[in-house]
Amino acid sequence: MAGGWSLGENAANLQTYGAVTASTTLTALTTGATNTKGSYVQLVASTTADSKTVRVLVGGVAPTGTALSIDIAVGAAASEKIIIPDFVQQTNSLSEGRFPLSIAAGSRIAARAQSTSSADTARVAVIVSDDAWGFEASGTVVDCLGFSSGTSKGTAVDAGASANTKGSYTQITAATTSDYIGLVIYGANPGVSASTFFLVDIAIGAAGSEKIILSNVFIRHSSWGATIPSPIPYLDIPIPTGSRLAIRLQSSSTTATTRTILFTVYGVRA
Amino acid sequence: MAGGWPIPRSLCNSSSYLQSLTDSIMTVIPSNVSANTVGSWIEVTSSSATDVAAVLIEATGNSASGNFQAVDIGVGAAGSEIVIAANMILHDYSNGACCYCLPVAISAGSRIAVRTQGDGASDSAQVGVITLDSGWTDTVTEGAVDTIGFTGSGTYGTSVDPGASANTAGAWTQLTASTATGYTGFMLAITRSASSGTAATYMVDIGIGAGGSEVVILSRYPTWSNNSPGVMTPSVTGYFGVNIPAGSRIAARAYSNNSTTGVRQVWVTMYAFRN
Repeated sequence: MAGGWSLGENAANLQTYGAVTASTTLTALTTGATNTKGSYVQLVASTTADSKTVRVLVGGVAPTGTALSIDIAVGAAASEKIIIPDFVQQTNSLSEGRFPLSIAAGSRIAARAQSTSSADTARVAVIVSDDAWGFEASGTVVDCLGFSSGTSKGTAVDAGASANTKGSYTQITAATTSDYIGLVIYGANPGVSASTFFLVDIAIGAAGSEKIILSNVFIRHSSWGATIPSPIPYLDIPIPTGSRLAIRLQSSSTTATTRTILFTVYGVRA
Repeated sequence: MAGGWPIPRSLCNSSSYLQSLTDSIMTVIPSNVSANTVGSWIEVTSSSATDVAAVLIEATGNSASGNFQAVDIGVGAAGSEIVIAANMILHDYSNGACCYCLPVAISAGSRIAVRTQGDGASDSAQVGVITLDSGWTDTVTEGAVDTIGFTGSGTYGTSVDPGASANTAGAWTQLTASTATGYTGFMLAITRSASSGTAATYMVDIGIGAGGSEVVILSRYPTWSNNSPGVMTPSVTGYFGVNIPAGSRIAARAYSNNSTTGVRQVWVTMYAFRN
């Protein structure tokens, strides 16, 4: 039912933090030991305005590891509070993730990263924007679902051995711990370079009774290692607390290594 | 000023069209036999099942003959389609794909159709469409999208040159001298030369205002291309809900870490949303 009281975003005061103009790149984050976070690097000491939308941009220069993730945090040095955990960075690409998140004016924003390779280099910038009076609600923190910090990768969803046929649902989380106002869904296949096509179903509900909330989203994994779209753009699909979230897909490939996509789902808490 | 009365958006009732379950891709939408000319409309649905508050348009070029395609989406009876978003660029060279998330409104019962053009003769793109309805508290739901800076004769955007000095902003390049109406937000498509085989990094500024007095409304949006495919990632930005008044001059400038002609230039197209 479209209608009711339609509100515009009315974004204002866009600020980009972490862009390195001198080399046309993004701020470098040195990762720790294998699959271990490195130290925080400050992107901005004090934001100049309130923010209601945060866009994370990661990648842009090839790292040595095959899979990386980046935490975005606010707060004083050594007291950072993570607001976007483990946003995935693919090799050979640069990704934008948009999150409706509130950050107060004057906040320090910092980031840190981990990789499948020790002392790797991740790259990050954020674009934040303020709003006018009648803006949409925005969350305060993002939950990361399906990501394994021990491998720096998401949950593998296998299309199965039959080409172009939906595989079984794979659970991303058994029960969400908070209401979400929307989702960012990120599929990747780190370390694999093969042109493959996928159609993806995202569902909620008990095993065997899944209800599809988004069907047949097309994902292309490229011969150069990146997955597009990466991620699927933020969608304001509300998810209640306690929901089981699962994903299934079909693939043009029957090869075990190329018919699989690793998913990480980011839920924006109400 | 954050605050006021925050209203939660809510999308629901998704419907998916044109995905091809038999090959896990999407439906081939033929372009014209002539390069850089739109082909015929292909029906997405004869009657949308619900009102629509957001549209995901995905495209890839697995069977394409050229390097660039552009997708139009329209509503209305066959032969009377009204374009609601035009020339959404796909750079498909070597496994490219794109996804546009448009906050546009379409009434329940509408016929929806798509068409394409490509920079190759008898080109094509494979296109899928996902629509989502909204709850009572509607999303932005604009009525239509104006394409600014698109070069129809080549199926790409306006060339923006960072100049011969690496890592330095080039001159502003005008995308439009004066917007015909006010806009509530925009997206960008950013591509580069079809098959440039050199890795390079880029940043793009968008400004409004008279030449020499541009005010930056989007600063240093980054994009990157690997050395193998030449495809930009991201090649499509998210939606920026920045209001642009009617009569505005819009311009873009760019940075690149590569100063080589043919590599350093980016092609910028703006999709501006209006009520």
